[in-house]
Amino acid sequence: MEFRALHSLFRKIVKGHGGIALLIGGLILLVFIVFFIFAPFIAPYDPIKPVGPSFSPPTTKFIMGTDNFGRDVFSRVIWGTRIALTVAIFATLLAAFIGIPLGLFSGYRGGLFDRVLTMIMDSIYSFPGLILAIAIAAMLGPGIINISVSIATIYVPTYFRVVRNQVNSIKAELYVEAARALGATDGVILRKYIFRGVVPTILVILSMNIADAILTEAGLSFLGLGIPPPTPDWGFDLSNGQRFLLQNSWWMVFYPGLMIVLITLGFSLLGEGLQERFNPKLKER
Amino acid sequence: MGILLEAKDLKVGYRVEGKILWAVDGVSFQVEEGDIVGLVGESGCGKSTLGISFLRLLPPGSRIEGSLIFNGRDLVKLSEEELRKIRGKEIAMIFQDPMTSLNPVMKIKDHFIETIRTHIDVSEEKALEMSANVLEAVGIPSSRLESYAFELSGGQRQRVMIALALVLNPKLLIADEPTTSLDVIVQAQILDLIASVREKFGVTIILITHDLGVVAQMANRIMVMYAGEIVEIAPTDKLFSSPLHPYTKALLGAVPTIDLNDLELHSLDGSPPNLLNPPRGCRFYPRCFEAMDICKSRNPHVVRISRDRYVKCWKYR
Repeated sequence: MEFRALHSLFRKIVKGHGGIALLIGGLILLVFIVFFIFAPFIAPYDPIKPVGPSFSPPTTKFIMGTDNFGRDVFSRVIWGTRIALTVAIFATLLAAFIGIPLGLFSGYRGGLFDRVLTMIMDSIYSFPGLILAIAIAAMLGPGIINISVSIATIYVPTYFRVVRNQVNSIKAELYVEAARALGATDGVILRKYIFRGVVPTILVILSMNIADAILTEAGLSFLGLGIPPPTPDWGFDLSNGQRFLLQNSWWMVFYPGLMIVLITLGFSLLGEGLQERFNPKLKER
Repeated sequence: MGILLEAKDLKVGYRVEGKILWAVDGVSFQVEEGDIVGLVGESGCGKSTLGISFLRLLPPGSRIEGSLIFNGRDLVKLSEEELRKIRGKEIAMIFQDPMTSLNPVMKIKDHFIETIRTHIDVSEEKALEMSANVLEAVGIPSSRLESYAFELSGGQRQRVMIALALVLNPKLLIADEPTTSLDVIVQAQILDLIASVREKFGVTIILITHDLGVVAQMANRIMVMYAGEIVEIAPTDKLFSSPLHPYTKALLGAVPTIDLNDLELHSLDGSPPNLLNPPRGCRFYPRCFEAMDICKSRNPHVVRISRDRYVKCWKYR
């Protein structure tokens, strides 16, 4: 995947405590947030109506060209930010809200409950993500909520495993026993001692997961299991555009693809920067 | 002075390989108000298990039997919720390793506020005021309330832990090897501090250690533990001047002194028995240099020698 190569290139350039990664990632995301909020003002045309000739290459009037229906690619790409971000963030948060409490509880309590839940999560985790998402999306049908739910399902085990393992190591710390010796309740220990220790890791995974979720969403839409047309969606536009690549209409594929690469890069950089900031072990390198 | 804590035939066990290992196997003793009791013994003798059983901070699956009367209530029979209210409020504990006993993501003041407000209903300002007072009393400036644990040295952290343990004026303080991981000078300072807080806060202290020098300096009474049993209880001066139990004698003989007439260091051969399968007779019998026939077959009872001296040995029948 392109973003991974770019990603490791950036890793070589950016040293120190992730400052540069945070900066560049943050700037990229800022641009996308502007697209997200001000899409109606930035996009020059209605993204779902034919506004010019079909297959027009980039011109001053249509700066990213038009597609086979004569729709403006630039407008579609800007509006596409909304779908991509909405689905990715919603799916990631949903996964976090399910995975984190389960991981906390399972790790803290231990016992049979923990063993059964770990087994279930591991089996989900070992399943190839996109294929699982396809299966669930196919079952639920297209739509923003459904696609988010199917993407969320793949990520629940990530949170569960990370949180559970951290809880397991934190709960053996002397300071947790010391807190108990001072009369702390289970609730306080879970919230103030264990959850707080897990937060930095969760932030990093959140950011990385959003990047991954955007790719998955684009993948599902590319396969026709995502958002139903004519809603502007990068993945769908990619699959629509690739049919016309042979007639040299490169812009229909290039610009949605570029957006996907850039936004994933933004979130990856942010995640990487956060990781360098919050993980003291990485600072030693 | 009244009796603050009284253990009667207290047993604490862990489940190991399907059997129960009694790490503390039937101990009885009394702790009087205002005492500093030293609990000594070698590694694995059950002294730390006994220490955490005063707060019943035992790992899941462990067993506790007998009775442990604290202030008229039997700690062995209390519910988890009732115990939680006692922990930190009436009985507090400080641990061996101050480097890891504070939460790295919480400020010092949050530790205090949390502990105080768990037990008593006061405003945050009032809690902070209480914390500042007790911190100053242990020699830490109250400005440190805003610090995180990693900004403090080991000695400072142990002072903070002591302040945290004392902030609610507990009646009993359990100190489990409070100076083991500190360097010698800081050790001395912390010991001085513990001795001084006893007066300032009127707290009774149980000091768990394997360092005879520490208890000699601090404690007024000493309990010697061996293989899950208390083998001798005596006032500190008497224990050092005329030890009764052969194990106590061996322990004292293994401590280096600066006496020029006694340059030889006596070591004790062998190792403690496997507690999963304790021997039928006296547990110290295989290593004892005064062993008799009866020691092999029957475990001795505790014998009361004088008002405050007890020994568990056939020699004093």
